This record gives sequence, C-alpha cells and structure tokens, in this order.
Amino acid sequence: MIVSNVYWIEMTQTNLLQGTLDLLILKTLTLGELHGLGIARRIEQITKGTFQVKAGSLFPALHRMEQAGWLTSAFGKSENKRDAKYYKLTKKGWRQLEEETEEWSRIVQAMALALRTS
Amino acid sequence: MFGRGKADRELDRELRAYVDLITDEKVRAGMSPDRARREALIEVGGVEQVKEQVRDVRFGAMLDTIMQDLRYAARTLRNAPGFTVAAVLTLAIGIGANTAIFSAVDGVLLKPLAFSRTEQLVTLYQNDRRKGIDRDDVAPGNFAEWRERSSAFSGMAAAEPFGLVYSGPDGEERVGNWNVTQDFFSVLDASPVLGRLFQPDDFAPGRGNVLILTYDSWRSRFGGDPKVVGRTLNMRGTPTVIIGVLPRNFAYLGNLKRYEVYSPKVLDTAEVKLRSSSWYNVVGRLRPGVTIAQGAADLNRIAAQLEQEYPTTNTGIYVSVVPLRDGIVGDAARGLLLLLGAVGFVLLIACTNVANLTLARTARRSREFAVRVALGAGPRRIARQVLTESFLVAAAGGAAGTALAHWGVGSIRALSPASLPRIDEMHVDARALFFTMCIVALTTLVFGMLPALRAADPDSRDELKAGARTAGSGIQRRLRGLLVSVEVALAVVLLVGAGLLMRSFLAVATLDRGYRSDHVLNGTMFIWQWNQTWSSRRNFVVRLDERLARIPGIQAAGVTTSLPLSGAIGADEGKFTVVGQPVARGEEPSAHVTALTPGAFDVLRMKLRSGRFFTTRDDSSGTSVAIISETMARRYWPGTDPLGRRLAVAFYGAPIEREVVGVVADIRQSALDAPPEPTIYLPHAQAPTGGITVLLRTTGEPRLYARDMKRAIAELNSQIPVTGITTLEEVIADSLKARRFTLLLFGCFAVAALLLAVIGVYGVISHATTERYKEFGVRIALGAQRRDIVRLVVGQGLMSTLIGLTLGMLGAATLTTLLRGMLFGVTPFDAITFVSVGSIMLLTALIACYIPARRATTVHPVIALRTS
Repeated sequence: MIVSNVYWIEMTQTNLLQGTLDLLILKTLTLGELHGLGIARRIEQITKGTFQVKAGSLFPALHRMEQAGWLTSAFGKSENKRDAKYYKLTKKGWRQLEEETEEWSRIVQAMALALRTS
Repeated sequence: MFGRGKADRELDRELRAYVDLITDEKVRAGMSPDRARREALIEVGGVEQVKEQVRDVRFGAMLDTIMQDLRYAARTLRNAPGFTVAAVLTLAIGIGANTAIFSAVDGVLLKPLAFSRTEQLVTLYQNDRRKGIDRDDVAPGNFAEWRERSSAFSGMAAAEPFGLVYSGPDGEERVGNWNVTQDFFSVLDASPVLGRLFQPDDFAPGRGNVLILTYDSWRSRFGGDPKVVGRTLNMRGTPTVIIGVLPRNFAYLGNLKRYEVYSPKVLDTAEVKLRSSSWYNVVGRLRPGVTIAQGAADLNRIAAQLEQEYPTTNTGIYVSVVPLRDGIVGDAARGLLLLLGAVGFVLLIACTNVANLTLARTARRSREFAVRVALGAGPRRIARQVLTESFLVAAAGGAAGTALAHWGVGSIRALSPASLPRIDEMHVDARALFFTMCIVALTTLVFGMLPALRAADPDSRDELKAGARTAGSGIQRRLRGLLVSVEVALAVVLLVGAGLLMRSFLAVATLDRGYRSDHVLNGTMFIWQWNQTWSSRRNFVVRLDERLARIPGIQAAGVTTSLPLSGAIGADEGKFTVVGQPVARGEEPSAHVTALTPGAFDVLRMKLRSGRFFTTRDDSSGTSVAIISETMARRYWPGTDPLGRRLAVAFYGAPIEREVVGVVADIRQSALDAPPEPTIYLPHAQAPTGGITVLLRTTGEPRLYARDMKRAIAELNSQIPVTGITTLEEVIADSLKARRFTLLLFGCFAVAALLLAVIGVYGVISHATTERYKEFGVRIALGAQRRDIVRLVVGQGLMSTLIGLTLGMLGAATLTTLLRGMLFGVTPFDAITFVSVGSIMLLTALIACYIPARRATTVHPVIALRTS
C-alpha cells in the first residue's frame, strides 16, 4: 500500500515548481543510475512523501532533460528482472545540478528573508 | 534523435516497464496480480496521455535546439562576412547553373506531354534494315497498310510538315504547318480550348481550307482574341478559315514557334499507294493492355507480308516503335543530359571549394569548439552546429542561385537552336525550385559533412588546444590537399570536354564547304501554280535569271532547286543507273539531285575539279548533260575519268540519259557534319522543277538587296510570293546553332570549373602558407633563400595539382567517349586538347600558388617568431 501524506504536492507540468522537479530528479540521480519508477520513489522517500511524482509529469521531464543533455539513458534489467530504462547524469547534468542548487539556495534565503522581514 | 518510430517504440517500452514495476510493487505488498495491474494503470493515469506529453516535450525541445542552432549560425556567419560571401557566391554559381539546366531538361525531357494516357502513344518509323537507318520517315503506302492491317492499335495518324505562306498586312510570310490526317487529334486525344478540331468533312476533296492555331500563335499573332474562330486568313491567295485553337503546350514535333498551325491532310488515291518515297511522321495509340513490344511485333509481321507483296519497294523495310516522347525529343536528349552532367561537375567543384573554406574556418575556430566542449556540448552537437552553418550558407546560395537560374534560363532559351523541341516549356517553376531545394540539402551534406566531422573529432581538437599554430595538423593539410586534387580533376574533365567540343566546332565551321557563303542572298518561291508546264517554267526561270543579273551591284545571279543546309523545297533525290553497269530493277542507287542555272555555280563560287560548268546552251534543245560531285565520281568511276560517261537519272519523271560534263567539289547538303552524299547537278532548263531558290552574289551587305530581288521577281509575276529571304551566312549559322549551343554552355561550365578550381588551389595554398609563417621565419633566420621558400610553397600546391591533373586526365579519357557522337574531326583522345588543357591547368595553378609564395618570402623572421 502506498502511504498517502496529507501534505503531498502533486507535481504537474504547469506547476510553478517545474524547476523544482528538475532539481529533484538531478539530485536523486547523484547516487547512481535509476529507472523512472525508482526516481519517483526516491523523490518520495527523500522528501518524506511531500512530493509525489506522477507519470504524466515524470516522463516529459526526463525526456526534456535528456534532450537538454543533462541525462543519458539506456535499457537494462531491474532488480526483479524487469525491462527498464535507466537514467544517469552527464557531465552537463552535474553542472546543471550545481547551478540549480546554488540558485535554489539563493531563492530559499531570499524567500526566508522576505518572509521574516514583512 | 531522428525517426519518430524508434523514439516512439522506446517510449512505449519504457512506459510498459514502468507499469510492470508498479504492478510488481503492489503484488509484493500483497495485492492480487489483476487488481495490482488495474491500480497501476489508474496510478499512471492514461498511458497514451503520458506518451503524448512526452512527444510534445521532445518536439518542442527539438525545435528549440534547431532555432538555437540557426540563430547561432546566423550570428557566426555575420561575423565572418568574407567567408560567407565567398561561400554563398560559389554555391550560387553551382546551384544556379544546375537549376537552369534542370529547367531545360525538365521542360524538354521530363514534363509530361500535353496528351492523355501518353504511355499508349508511340511514334512509328520505317526501319530500313538494308541501309541501317532505324528511324526513317514513313512512306504513305506503308502507313496506309499498317493502319489497315494492324490490330494492336486503336488509332494511327500521319502528319507531314508543310509550310504555308500567310499573306498578312505586312507582306508575305512562311508559317510552319503540319498537314495531319483525319484522326490525328483523336489519336492524341486532344481537345481544343476554342472552336473545334477537324471533322471528317474537312477532309473531303475540294474542301480543306480550314486550319487550327496552336495556343502560342493564337496569343502572339492574334493577341489571344476570343473571337478568332471563324476569321478568314489569306494563305497565299487561298481564303482559309480558323476553326479552333489548341491547348497550351500541345507540342507535337519540333517546338511551338516553328509549327504554328495544323491543316487537314487530304489524301489522294495516288499518294496512298506510294511506297518508294517516305516523308510521313506517324503516331499511333496502342490498344489498352498492348505493350510497345507487342505493337512492334504486330507491325513487323505486317512489314514482312509487305516485303513479300512489294519486293521492289519494301525489301528490308521494317518498323521501329518508340514511345512518343522519344520520338518528339529525339537527339536533343543526349545534348541536354550531357550538359546536366557537366553542370553537376561544376556543383561538385563548388561544394569542394566551400568544404575547403569551411575546413579552414573550422581549424581556426578550434578554440571556440574546445570551449563549447568544456561547457558540455557533445561531439554530435558541435557537428550539428557546423552542419547548420553549412545549411544556412547552402540555402543562401540556393536563393541567389535561383535568381541566377532565372536569368540563365532566358539566355538558354535565346541561344537554343530551333531544333530543340518543347523549349517553350522551360521555366524556373515549382518543380525547378523543388530540385533546387534537394540540391541545397545535398550540397549541405556534401560540403558540410567533412568539416562537421573534423570539428567533432576530439583528436583534432586536442591537437589544436595546445595552441600550436605551426603546420596545422598533418591530417588536416593532407585532407585539404586531397580536396584540391579532386576539384582540379573535375575541372580537367570539363575542360577536356569543352576543348574537344570546341575543336569539333572549329573543324565543322572551317570545313572546306566546296562553295563560298559570303555575300549571298537567297529567297525561295514556288512557281508551279503560275507555270504549269515545263516550257513555261523553263522560260520563267530563264527570264528571271536575266532580270536578276541586271540588278545594279550584283556580281552573279542564279536559281537552284536545293540550297545547302536549307532543307528540301521539292524533290531532291533521284535514282540513277550508270550506263554500262546494269542493276536489277528496284536496286538502282540514288543520289542527291540539284537542278540549277549556270549562274548558280558562279554565285556559290563552286569549285570545278574537271570538265566544265553548265552554260545557257545546255537547254531543252541541247544534249542532256549532268555534272557530278567528287564523291559520286569516286564511288562510281573509281580510278577512271568520269567525263564523257553516261548516266540515266530519274528526276521528276522517267530516267533520262545524260552525259557527264564536269566534276565539282563536294557540298555537304544536309548538315555540315554529315559526310557528303553523291550529288548529281542538272541544268534547270533540262529539269525545270517548280520549287526554286533565287541566289544573288552581291557587292556589300547582301540584305540590302532584298528589295531589289523582290522587285525583279514582281516585274515578271507580281503574284508569286518570295519567302525566307536570308543570307547564306545566316543559313550556315543556323545549321551550327545546335553545336554552338552545346559548346557555349559546356564552355561556360568548363571555365567556371577552372576558375573555381584555381580559387580552390589559391585558397588552400594561401591558408597553408599563413599557417606556416612562423616556420618560414625560422627557415629564413637559419639562412634559407627566398627561392627555397617559394619552392616549398609552390611545390606543395603543384603536388596537389599534379595529382588532380593525372586523375582528371584519366577520368577525361574514360568520360569523353560519351561525347563521341558529338565530335567531328577529332578523336576523344585528341592529344592537342589534352596537352593544352594540362598546360592551362598547370599554368593557372602555378600562378595561384605563386602569389601566396611571394607573400611568404616577405616574412620578417623576428615578426614571424614573435606572433602567436
């Protein structure tokens, strides 16, 4: 059974947080290559279930990022011998992660500052 | 990246795996497999929807990248105006020439004919197996029998070219006309745009004074007047009614400007039995389902029957059946395809040149690429970037080339000989533009691929990352040297072709013609209507001769029944036998026969080899005489003197025995490049035929005497129109026009090829020299003489040129055999041509190398060492 959290945020394409999804995907892949479901589960895990990624947003994001050259992919066998497409970071993807992390921390700091002062 | 199919299949596989994985998860959590699968699908939320979203993302990203590449390419090209202009112009020449020639080929050869179900339409020829002529005109009697007996055809019709004279408000004029049999238009399945086509009663004897206009003549002569049908024209005294207008592009044989009207061909009973003389053009429509081979087999079966029935006329006479298009286009195809090949070479050279330019540029930009790789661009992305730039250059070249082609097509049309059929259908149109687009794409690949691969090659980058700018990479230099060799080779092939064509042209043009063509005016008239008997015709011509000779400023005047290179205006062939050399009936040899007045020899300054010319005493009361040509003398009296021998010549009637009184130099009657036929000359007074050409030898410009000629004729009979007044020089120029057309275009392409190749040599050597300035500086500092530096640079260029030259000569020796049919007086391996081309190529390459070499010697060692 999937444990539903009350605070989950459904990520959609039109969501303002598209950049957030990209960043989360990049982050999950730093530990090694993963297939689509693996990425979705890992994001759930590391955000403690706050973000649940649906196929409708996950796959477009993966393909977009692959086209941008941040990821590469190859078919392989999953732990339970299933056919699955594995993604991993490229050099460009690592740099992108670095930049976006920095960007994100700046936003977080700025937001925090703004919320504190007002 | 490419091919939606593969990406889609992979996406499908990926999503299926995703659903399976979720299902596994749920099964592991204790759910039944069926339920797990259902819930997994619900969670995914519509596989198709997801796929669609991914596709959108992919497509958008692709567009983004393309736009990004294009913007970037445009910016880079703007920053290198020198390269961009050179590359675009080079490609514009290559692409423009190709588009122009393609338009010609398309108009003449490829565009569908304006008839319906063209694949059933065939042209039928007599195949004279004994003479080896497989596409001969058809005798009326044979046409009638074929049509009567064959079951393979749904229709068969004949046409004969028959010029009419139109007496318009501006005087008289000859109009190209086809006389066609009753079912001509129904066989071709044509329908008129105005009025009607022929009906059976138009062909009733005594009728037939109707005509149909081609679309072009309707537009040009009648301004497209919608009420033209029903108008009566005065065709040489015969009122003739216009009954219809043909659709646009209805081009039967020859081009539209030459044939403006169609008239009914009224067959008379004598003509349909004639089998000994052939002049019909025959077109047939095969029955549905009957192949050309079956049609030919059927007709040849009939031909074999006719051979049995009429052995005297039909022995060896069979039938050739060819698709109508081949019949219409005829020999023009070969010349055009040759030009298309030549122009393809020019494009290849242009591509090679631009490839070289791009390579040099890529080498210079190695640091830029290194930076981009460091920033994460993959080799494929770099290659794509370089290709995008190449594409932009090619597209700009294509646009400029199209403009060039538009202008070129106009020139081609103006230059083209009248014999080039369907030339009116030649335009730079949508089809040509499509062709150009294909060429642009191809060009991009051809010249862009190599630089793109080089740019993407990490080895070449590493090498250059070091900042070494000495000799450049060895591979790079060898590659560019090879490209130069290739373009030199291509240029050499074209130059040799052009050289051979030029030598042939000169050989034809300067041939000893056996007469002089300068200062001769000629005009044609048909006198039989007004002079029905032999004696009245004879008298008319005698008086005409005297009257013409009295024109002030005239050196000589005469009349002939066949002017060289002008086409027949009456019978110009006759059978003969040599008295004392009997042959079987029907086996008599034939010769070209010309009847002329004594003055005609004088006008043409014909060369007498032995005996005498005709005099005024060779008339009806004198002995029957003949003069023969050298070829005739050689063939029938080898090794002996033909003077005083006797011939029986059948010309307009039963054979008449004549004494040979003279031998004259050969004249090439039908074409300058065809071997001279045996020819018999008769005194016109002894063979007074009705179609005559009046000849004047003038002092000064012959055209100025046209009015005098007309007046002199009008004084004798003001009703007889004189047509086609031209100078003999113009007649000769016309006959050379087809050859000149091919030569001129081919020559232009060869010169363009030479220029491009030389520019290529110059570019490469100049670039290589710049790269080696430092090295030269060192050499000079170490005591090298300027001479050594020049030798070094020139040697490098000459090496590539020599390799190219050798390859080119070998290629030319193989390819020029394709030209064989167009050569005259030279062999495809003509030493003079090959040697001259080699010298020209070497000399120009030498100059191209010497300029940068000179520059290299001015390098100051200190400055050279200090740079970079």
